[in-house]
Amino acid sequence: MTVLARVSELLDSQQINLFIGYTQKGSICPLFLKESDQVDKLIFNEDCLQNLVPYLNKHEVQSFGKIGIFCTFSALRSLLQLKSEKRFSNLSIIPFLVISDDEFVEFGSYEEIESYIEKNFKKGDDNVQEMIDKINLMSTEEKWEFWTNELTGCIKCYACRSACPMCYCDKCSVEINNPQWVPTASHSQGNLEWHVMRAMHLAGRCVNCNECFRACPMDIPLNLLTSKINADMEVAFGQIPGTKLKLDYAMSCYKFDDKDNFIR
Amino acid sequence: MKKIKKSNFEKMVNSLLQSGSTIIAPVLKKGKHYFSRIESFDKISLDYCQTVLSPKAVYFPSTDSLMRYENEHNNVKIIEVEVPKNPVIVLGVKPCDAYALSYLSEFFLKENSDTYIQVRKENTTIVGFTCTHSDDKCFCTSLNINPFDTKGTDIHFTDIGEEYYVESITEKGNEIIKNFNTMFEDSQTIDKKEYSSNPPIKFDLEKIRLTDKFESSVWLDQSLLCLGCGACAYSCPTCSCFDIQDESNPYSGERLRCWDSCGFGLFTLHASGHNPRHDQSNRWRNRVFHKFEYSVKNLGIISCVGCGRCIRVCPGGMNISEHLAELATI
Amino acid sequence: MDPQNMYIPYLMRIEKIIDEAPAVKTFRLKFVNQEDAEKFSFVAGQFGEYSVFGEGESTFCIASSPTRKDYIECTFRETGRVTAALTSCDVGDIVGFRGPYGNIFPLEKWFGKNLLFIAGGIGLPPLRCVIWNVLDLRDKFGDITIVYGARKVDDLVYKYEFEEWLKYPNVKLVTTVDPGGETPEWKGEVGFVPSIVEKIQPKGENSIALICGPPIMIKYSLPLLEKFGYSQDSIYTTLENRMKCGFGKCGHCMVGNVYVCKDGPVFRYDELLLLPAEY
Repeated sequence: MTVLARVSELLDSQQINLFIGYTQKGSICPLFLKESDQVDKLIFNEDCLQNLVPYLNKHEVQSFGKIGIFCTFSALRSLLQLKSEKRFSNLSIIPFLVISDDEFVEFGSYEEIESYIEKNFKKGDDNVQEMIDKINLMSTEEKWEFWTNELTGCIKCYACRSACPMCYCDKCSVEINNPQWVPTASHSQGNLEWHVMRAMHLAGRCVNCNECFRACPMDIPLNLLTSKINADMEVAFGQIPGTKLKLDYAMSCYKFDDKDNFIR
Repeated sequence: MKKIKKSNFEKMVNSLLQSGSTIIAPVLKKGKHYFSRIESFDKISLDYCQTVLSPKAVYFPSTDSLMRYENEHNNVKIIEVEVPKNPVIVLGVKPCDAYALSYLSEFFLKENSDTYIQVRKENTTIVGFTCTHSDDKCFCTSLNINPFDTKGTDIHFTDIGEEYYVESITEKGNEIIKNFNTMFEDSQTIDKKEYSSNPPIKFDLEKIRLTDKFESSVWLDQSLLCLGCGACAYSCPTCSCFDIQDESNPYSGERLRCWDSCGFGLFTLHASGHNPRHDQSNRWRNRVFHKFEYSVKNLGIISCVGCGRCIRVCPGGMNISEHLAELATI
Repeated sequence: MDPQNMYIPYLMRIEKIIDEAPAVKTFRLKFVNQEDAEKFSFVAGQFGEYSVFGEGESTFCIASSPTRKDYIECTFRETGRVTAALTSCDVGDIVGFRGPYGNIFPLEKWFGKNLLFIAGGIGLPPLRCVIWNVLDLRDKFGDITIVYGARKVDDLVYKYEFEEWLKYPNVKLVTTVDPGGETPEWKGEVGFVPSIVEKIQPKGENSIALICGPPIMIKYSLPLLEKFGYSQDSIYTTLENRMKCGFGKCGHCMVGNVYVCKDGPVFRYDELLLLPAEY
């Protein structure tokens, strides 16, 4: 059975009320299917990069209840991470990982996702690692210059936050104004504080889907911040986000063998 | 009508720079174009389809200081912000953006005139350019804007090969021609269409009748793709909504006006917790209604110019031109 | 100072602070500069942007009557950054005020008519401005009926003024608290505002109704008013959308093509019905 036939079947039998996939309209964009009649508009190829999982955080999407969704490998990881954070308890989600037209994996449970990720785990993007290695070699001053330069462009449109599967807070820290922790203005201090705060909130949670970078209209490589923090988290705590259904969250979980060498 | 040799155009720009004018022009950075302040002519890159952000920040910066204050022993002193009055020239503005700038000044200055924008407009000269590159996201022609229109410009240039064909539109344009009169020659009237891009018409504007579609399910269907960020509004040349925020230390502070977007859930949230536009579909509908119905009712102008920026920057693949085409069919 | 610059606030000194209810306070503000006070005037229904320097601005109506010169009063509940900062202000502190903004209650059109005020909770301040204005011009209006309710006795604002209102001729005040909100000493009604309106059976003939309070209270009161003969064009309310600038630019308060701050905040019921329900 082709993946399209299977999606049709699920929609027709009302095992799902909505399917979130990709289509090509000039450029590739998400497609939300409520009926099977337009299932032939679905496509899947190596250019289908957008992580669709963030849509599952929208209440308008959640109201569909039973949802099928195309997942890239990192999208699958974000789904698992979200589940480990106790999200989607009222949702029935059927994720699909498509390999080719006839070859796909349909996941029946989060345990299946977990074991698939374990078997097929691959480290993140080589280009990202290359950039991180390059920044690692910089002096503190050079790093500062690199980031102030990059963050100058930020217009505080919060596309990074909206496109991030892990940014699902009802009220983001930047919107908490009593006290105002982070300036909302897009000046250099406001931009720096916002991105540092956001990266810290993603420590141990970012699945390296690079969606923040892809979403940024100003092309700021925000994924470098979160990827670097997570590489450090892996070394310090041995945790890789989006790989375990039951994950101790390093930032809020105390263990006797935690290293304390950062306390001076 | 006038014309100017490209070599003279370069001399003119350099001379304007030397005389202390701030020149803002499209500049290429990492493969994309941005309106930036230039220090020399060779930084200008007129060979562009669309800049990532519009030139609206020239009038309406993303963060604008409204006033400062000092506060010592409960003795508050308000210090007004002086908006710089030095001449600013925005060069390489396409017809869509020039049209949008004229909308913005109409909106901000017609009633309850905005001092800051008034001063900036007075000191800014808009140098328009006939559009030569469009892509599949452009739809100005669907909104009755031609890629060679001069509305909103002070002086308009059309690239005709070795020379620019020049139309002066306002007194500020006349001033430029007068100041560099040896460089400008008389010209026959030309058909600018031959030198301009020609984005195809995507929908029939007449058929988009929104009034009776307020309750349609189309808003939910279309807005499912929307992730609720502000990229569309911030890149939009006509979006003008803003927030007012104070930043301070115990002794002094500043009141800032920052860009805001009706696409954010918090935009309309009442202090009581009630949100009149609770769903993204309400917010998407508001965006379309504002541009195509509310601003027509209030100012007689459609406040979308078809520049396509919102389509290019949208992380969710929202495409207003396709959505408008859909609205024209229902 | 640039007279055109609408963003520059007046400096106001806090003259008096009244603790109205839990987290609700009333400030009486006086102009720091006498020439500002002399230039300033407003009409019932208008509002302003009140600011704590360094914290920002917040929108409230002017709760005092324009007939009381030399000062303005505002009543607010602590909900966010600015109202929290206002709450911690003391008498003598300096705050900012921009305004007045918005349209007005057309009092002159109501001369000779009976007036019914219906308010819930913190919805009374905008109507209190009208109540005092009308009482100060008492002989110009017919009977005055005020129905005011809150969740609990503690939540009622302006309690200390109620007796003063009743000293004027032909003024009827009915106060109520939601069931369970009463205290042993409570002598008013117990019940939701709409049910009290139903009980007192106001007559719509030659009458104007002004209503302000939680959306749910307004929703259930409007059909009753129509039942009692109030025409849609004799019912007025004031909207409290989120606002930033106060004069039709920032876009926050837009309902359809209407800017609540500039075209409102006072709307007649028939005008409101023409707007999309985004308020």
